[in-house]
Amino acid sequence: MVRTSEPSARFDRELLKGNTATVVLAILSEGPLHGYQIAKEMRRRSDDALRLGQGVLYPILHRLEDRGLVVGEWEQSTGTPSRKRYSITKAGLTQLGAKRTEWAAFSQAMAKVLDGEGGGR
Amino acid sequence: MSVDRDELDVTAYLNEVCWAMGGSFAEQQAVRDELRAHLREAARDLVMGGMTARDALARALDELGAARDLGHAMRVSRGTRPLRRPLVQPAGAVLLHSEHARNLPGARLAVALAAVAATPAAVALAFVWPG
Repeated sequence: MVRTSEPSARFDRELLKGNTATVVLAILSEGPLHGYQIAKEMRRRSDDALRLGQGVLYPILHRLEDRGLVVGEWEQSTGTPSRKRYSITKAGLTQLGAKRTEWAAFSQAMAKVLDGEGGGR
Repeated sequence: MSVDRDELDVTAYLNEVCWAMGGSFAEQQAVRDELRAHLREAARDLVMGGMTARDALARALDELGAARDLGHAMRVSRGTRPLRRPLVQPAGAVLLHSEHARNLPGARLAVALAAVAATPAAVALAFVWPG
């Protein structure tokens, strides 16, 4: 269900899918948003490179909610149907911190390998 | 294209999502409300970008992805039970209640009675079958 626009055609689908939860946590760490706003923000921040089939977002949000990493609250307003707004929890922030550290170490290691910086031979 | 036609499209899409997702009525209603709000916002943005209302809704539905895939992904993420259609429809009951029932040949009557007898067990089996 992950769709990619032209700039992201080089990204492996599984790479995107496997990291979407972290991207969602990172976006929510800056403030509560609705599902559609999260999808828009993901595209905007990545210059349209991280373009998901937007439906893929909801199973991820619900899983994060089940794990207590985000919390969803229904907003009731007069005249318009209710919408669900998600916020990151303290546990979510902790998880995001761990993922950021892990990602930095992983990308650094990959860069070394791919750029041939081993110097071993 | 009328608003009613658009509403039918959205309802059909949400029905398929919920069918694939399973779960309780309350869980399904929450997903319906959330996705309906998403579609409304997405379509509104596309209309503001110059699309017709009809095209905007079609694009918004397309961008959400295939309903069955989305419902299945929801089921996996929420751990809900799948819905199953009964294996045997209670056609026998309909046959027996028709005014022509008394004229049924013996074999057809036996099949009808067997269908009536098997329906509750088949329905029960459909709901407990591991999925």
